[in-house]
Amino acid sequence: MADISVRIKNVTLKTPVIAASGTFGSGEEIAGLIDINEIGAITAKTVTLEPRDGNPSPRIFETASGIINSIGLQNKGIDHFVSAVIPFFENYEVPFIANIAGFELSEYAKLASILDKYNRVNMIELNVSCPNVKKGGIEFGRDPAILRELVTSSVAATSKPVIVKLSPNVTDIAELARVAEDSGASAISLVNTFQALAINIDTLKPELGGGLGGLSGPAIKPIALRMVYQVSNAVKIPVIGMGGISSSADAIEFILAGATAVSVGTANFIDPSIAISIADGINEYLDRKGYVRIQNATGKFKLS
Amino acid sequence: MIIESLEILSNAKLSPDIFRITLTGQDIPARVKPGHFVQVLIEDNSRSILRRPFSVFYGDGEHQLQILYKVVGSGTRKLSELKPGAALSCLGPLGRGFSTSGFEKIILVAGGVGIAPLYFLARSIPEPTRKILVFGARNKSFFNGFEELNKIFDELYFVTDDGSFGYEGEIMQHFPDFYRKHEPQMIYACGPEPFLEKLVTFVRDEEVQIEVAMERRMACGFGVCMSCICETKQGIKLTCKDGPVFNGRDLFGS
Repeated sequence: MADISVRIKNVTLKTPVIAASGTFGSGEEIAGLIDINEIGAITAKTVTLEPRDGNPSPRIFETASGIINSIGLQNKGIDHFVSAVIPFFENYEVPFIANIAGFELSEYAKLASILDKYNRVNMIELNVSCPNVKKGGIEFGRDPAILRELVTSSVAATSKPVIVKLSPNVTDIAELARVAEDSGASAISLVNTFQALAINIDTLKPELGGGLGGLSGPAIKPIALRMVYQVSNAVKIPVIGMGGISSSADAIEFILAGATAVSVGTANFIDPSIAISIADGINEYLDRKGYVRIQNATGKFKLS
Repeated sequence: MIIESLEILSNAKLSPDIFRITLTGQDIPARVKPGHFVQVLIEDNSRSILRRPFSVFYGDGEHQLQILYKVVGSGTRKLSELKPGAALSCLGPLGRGFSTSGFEKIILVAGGVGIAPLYFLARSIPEPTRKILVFGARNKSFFNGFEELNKIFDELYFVTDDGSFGYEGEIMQHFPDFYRKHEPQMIYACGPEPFLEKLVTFVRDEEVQIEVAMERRMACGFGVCMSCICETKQGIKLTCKDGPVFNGRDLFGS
């Protein structure tokens, strides 16, 4: 039995496997199926200042080894989050990561400062893949200068560890990672979904009601893994790797590439208990390799 | 809900693209109620990684569960090729089922594979409730394999697009006549959405109650992914959790 616990700043996770935002609900739905306290950490669905209805249907479209989604960040807003979602997590000890998004720069710091008051929230993850409405709708996370301001203001607004969840829709993700680290992030998580499109050839309309969507699932794993490797070699702060992980072998690739922890998303839809079986599989791998701690494997892979 | 590996007992082809699969297991078959669905994983299929939601066509309350499905794409095609003895991972039971109580007379209206949840419902409603079925499909061959319907229902009306069996045309061209003749207290319906909308619109100002079973694309099936939204008078609902059975009058605009 190896030690698979990991630390991000001052927060200890008993396993390195996190449930990604938007794929696990608040755990309430799945509580009957698994013991939530056995998961490394749970990331809540993105919360915004105001409630959002989300995009019109259809909101998902399956592609080869993946899905494109355009949910549109449907959520009941920060007031409901603090009055209902946070209290629900008082039932569990599992580390709890809030995930926030804004449509204007100032909204991130506002949300971070509201959440700063709640002890039950262990970390705050910034979803920077949202459209910057004031700058023509381009993702916040694509512009280094804007990202710098976004992260700096969020870090200043809270004493909790801030994780920056990078958008992969960029030319040089390592550059954005360095900006986030310089700006005070406690950890980097990557990747969010890849911008994608599906066209219905009979109606000539997009398959998704929201038009463009985000691609996730096994199809993106090789690209996500490459990016995690590059980012891990660009920053010193912990990296949380995600993108198409559906087995412990997948997770181990990310760990060897340099990820301190991994996050599982789409795979939760198919098997809500997968975060637990992946953690077990990581443990078996470490035993087989004679490693006593997961840190013995972290970043062990180098291209040259 | 639970995840259980069910064994395939049979996978019968009823008509060109309609199959009925019989599964056996310990837990899920004992728990399913009319209106429930299960999320089925079809393995070794990189073209479709997600589970597929299927209404429960029949559950015997003990070990057997049946699903009626139409082959529409790569997932269902793969499903139709599976043989007895193979295992199928199922997640369920899921959803809010039909409400049942002692109605004197009910009409079940099925459009095509919409018969699936309604069949289970009909089998579970005992005498003395009088059960009438209005069953519409493209043509006669769709009704293969449903020979015992006359043992379950007190009255049967078949409607085919091409008139090859029963009444010709769309269900809603003939439904008003059946409805006026029988004056039921409750209607249960399932089928293509345009048909359901016409049905709900027709009965909107009547006394009769109406429940419809809806269908939406789903990723998870248990309320987490937010894909399967349904617009209702009470706001945006999730078809997998708040449905798939809805009060018909809550849907389809004013």
